[in-house]
Amino acid sequence: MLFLTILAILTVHIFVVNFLPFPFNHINIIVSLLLLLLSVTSNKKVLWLALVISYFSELFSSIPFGIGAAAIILSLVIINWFQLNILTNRSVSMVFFSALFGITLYRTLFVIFLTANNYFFNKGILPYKEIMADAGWEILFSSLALFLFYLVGAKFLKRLNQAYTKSERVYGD
Amino acid sequence: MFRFKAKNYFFLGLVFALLIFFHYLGWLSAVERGAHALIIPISAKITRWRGASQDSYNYFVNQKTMVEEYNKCLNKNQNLEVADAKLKDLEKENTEIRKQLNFFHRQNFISVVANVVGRNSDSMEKMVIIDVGEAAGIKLGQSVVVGDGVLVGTIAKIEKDTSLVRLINDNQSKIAATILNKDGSLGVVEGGYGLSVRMNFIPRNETVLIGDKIITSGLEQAIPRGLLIGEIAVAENEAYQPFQQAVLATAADLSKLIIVSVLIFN
Repeated sequence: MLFLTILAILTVHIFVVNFLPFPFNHINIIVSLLLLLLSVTSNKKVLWLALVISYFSELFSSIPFGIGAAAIILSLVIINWFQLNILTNRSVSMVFFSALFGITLYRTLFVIFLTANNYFFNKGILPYKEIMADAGWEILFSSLALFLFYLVGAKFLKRLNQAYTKSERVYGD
Repeated sequence: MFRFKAKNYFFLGLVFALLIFFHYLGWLSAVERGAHALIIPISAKITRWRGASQDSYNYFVNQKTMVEEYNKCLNKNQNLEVADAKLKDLEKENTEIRKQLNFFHRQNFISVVANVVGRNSDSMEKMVIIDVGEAAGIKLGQSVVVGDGVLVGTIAKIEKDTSLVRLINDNQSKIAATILNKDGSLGVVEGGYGLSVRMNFIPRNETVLIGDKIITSGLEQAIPRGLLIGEIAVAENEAYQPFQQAVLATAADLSKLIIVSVLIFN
């Protein structure tokens, strides 16, 4: 099951990157789905899943190995902390802000790590202006995609439905 | 949402560090080859669908434009045939002169044909994955061409059986180039936002005209002179800028690459 989940997420990501036209090919399915899983599930395996998926996705990237994975895992850990301590309900707006914040955080960490790598290994200066434009598209479309996943999911899945999650919050756990 | 204990954070960090460490040691190469073998065929399939769907899309959506373009092509083709005959004559003459004057040693290179099997997993970079790698003699920085010497990118990362090609419209792509104008202007061709390709650092006192062809200058070690990059679409010569810039129309459609060749110097 885990293997199929990993393969499915990677395939969907490759499909989006390869198949969709600009700027929709900037949707980061991996980060979006992981953030969605983090928001709606209580399963601790999400971070381990993130580790495995980011490891495999890095095999198809030219960025120095480990930078993307580190950015994904750190941003998920930070978002999890935020969801536990600040954005503590599971309303639609919380999911949207989590997505927006999570993807922004991921891309920021990614650029910081890449800058540090380029600095320490004497590589050239990154084209920040272009990176900002790419990141802007990615943040906008990935957040919207995640928001849509959640809304569609809430129609069909109990776990994502606010009405059920609210009662769970009052009586559950 | 869940509470991750400190112990779990420690294990997560440890496993992550070990994965990175083992990757660089090459101990995970079997797993990584397996992942490549599993994902590359899926990616190749998607890439092919994309090519096919784009063609259909262009045909059905822009049929009027296509017919106009087709008529233009027919006219252009007639002119090109005349130009081609002249070019062949000039090429012959040129080869003879070069031989006689020993002015320039033509560089010999062999090429390796490769299929485009996917794109970079990170949307920040404009790269394609090709199905040849270290085993086929591919090295970093080698030029990747389509057709009869149209440059589309350079090799940016190599695995055993696959490589990543940095396309010329990537933000980090920088190619030394020259314009085929009367000044033979030199400059650097750079990608911008993955949408356009620009040529920067063109001296301001040199004349750049729309339609001028741009080729590689041969100033880089792994990229031979004379590979066609594109032609000038817009020239910008601002009074307050130290150099002039130009926006290029690339000679190859970088979104529809299916088969490419990697040039390997002899």
